Amino acid sequence: MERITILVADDHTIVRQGLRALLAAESELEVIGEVGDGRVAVEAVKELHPEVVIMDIALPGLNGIDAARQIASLSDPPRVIMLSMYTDLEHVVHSLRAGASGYVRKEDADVELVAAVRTGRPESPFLSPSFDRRLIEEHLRKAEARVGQREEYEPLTPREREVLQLVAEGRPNKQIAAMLEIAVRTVEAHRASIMRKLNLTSQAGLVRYAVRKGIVPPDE
Amino acid sequence: MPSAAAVHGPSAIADVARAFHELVQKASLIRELESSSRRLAALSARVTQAQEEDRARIARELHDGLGQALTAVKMDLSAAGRQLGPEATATRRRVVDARKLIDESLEELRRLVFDLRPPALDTLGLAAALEAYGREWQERTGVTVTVEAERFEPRLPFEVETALYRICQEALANAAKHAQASRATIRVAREEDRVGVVVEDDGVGFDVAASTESENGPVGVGLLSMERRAADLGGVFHIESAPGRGTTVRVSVPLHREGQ
Repeated sequence: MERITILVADDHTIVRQGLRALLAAESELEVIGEVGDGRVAVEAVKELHPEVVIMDIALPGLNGIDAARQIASLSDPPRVIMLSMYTDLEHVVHSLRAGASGYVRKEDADVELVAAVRTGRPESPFLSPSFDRRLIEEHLRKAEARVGQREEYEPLTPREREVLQLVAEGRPNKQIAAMLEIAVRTVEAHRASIMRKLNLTSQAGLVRYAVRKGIVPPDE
Repeated sequence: MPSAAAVHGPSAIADVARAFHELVQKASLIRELESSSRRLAALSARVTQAQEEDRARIARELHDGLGQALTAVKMDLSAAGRQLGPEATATRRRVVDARKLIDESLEELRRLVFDLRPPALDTLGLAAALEAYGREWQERTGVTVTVEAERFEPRLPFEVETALYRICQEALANAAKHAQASRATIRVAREEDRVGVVVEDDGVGFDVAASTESENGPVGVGLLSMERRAADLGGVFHIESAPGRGTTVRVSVPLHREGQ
């Protein structure tokens, strides 16, 4: 049988002990690392290249969902199986959207975790049977649709996009404030927020972004 | 013949002096009142914050301590159960019963944690926490609730998320307890550099003025606590209701506070 290498990310020693005992009973599963911090988990993945990460959500440093998202963005990422006490729909849906391949309730680990480690895939995630798969898939679709609607200019708010367009058109703050009937200070705040969100440092960068997104035509 | 001024003079001056004295006393009383009400407001904000920190701490300890220990015990129990021989049917049954008991305890613990402070409020943010709460509330009360909450990136500060969550919770509690509503809606949206929250229900409504006058009334205390929470963040609280017309709670708080 082919071996599967595993990294365990859980900050509770007693749980890690239990998991070690549980996984040791399966000869083809090999735990190659244990960490108790989300940020460390991401680093450990880069270093150890496990095939599967068993990930708690309530982790210090970086929560398990954000860690899963970072791991999913690596090249050739491992599968991430969430193992959490949280059983609400929101945590399950957010985890799967972050790229997790499965979600197992912590108290079901003894009967389900091994199966999840063997079979979970992002395109067809492993879910504890106690979860309502249909409901989860419906919420996943809704969340996707929500993103789709405003994907074009993400991550700016509608007002920030308005301000961005006027700034990219070369209008001074005072004129923008008058056009939008808001305070000059508010325009400045919007500009600062846009620059921060888009990670820009100059007016030129802002114009380039607006052109690239088709918010203003290239010649202006 | 003595003039009127001469006759009334001393007593008139005394009257003026007395009136002036009273005025000065009143002014200083008002100043004292204003200052003590400011101190009270600051104290109430501090008490609310301490209470929220306590709830968060207890929820965390329940989840991290008891919750993790219980799940670990369950894993151990399963491992022990697997080592039992085929003849140990009675023991195996006891293991099964014990595992079931652990599941029930964990379910109870989960409810406690959710009531104290829902985990989603810390890991996922206000919108997800309100959606989770809305679903739980709908199941519990049978009142249909719609949650339309914008996601804030970056997240709103801890105290803003907490206060807005509690305000929605209180407004829904009122809708379930007093309003006999059949539908409720929660909306959270960014409005310029503020965040606005609206909680509406289609219930029986009530006389706002009469209710706010009696602080001991069932609705009165809830209204006060929502108003207080909004004020602690430098925000405004507004409620519209009339008998037979449903209730709308509106809250608006600044995203960035002056001097912070």
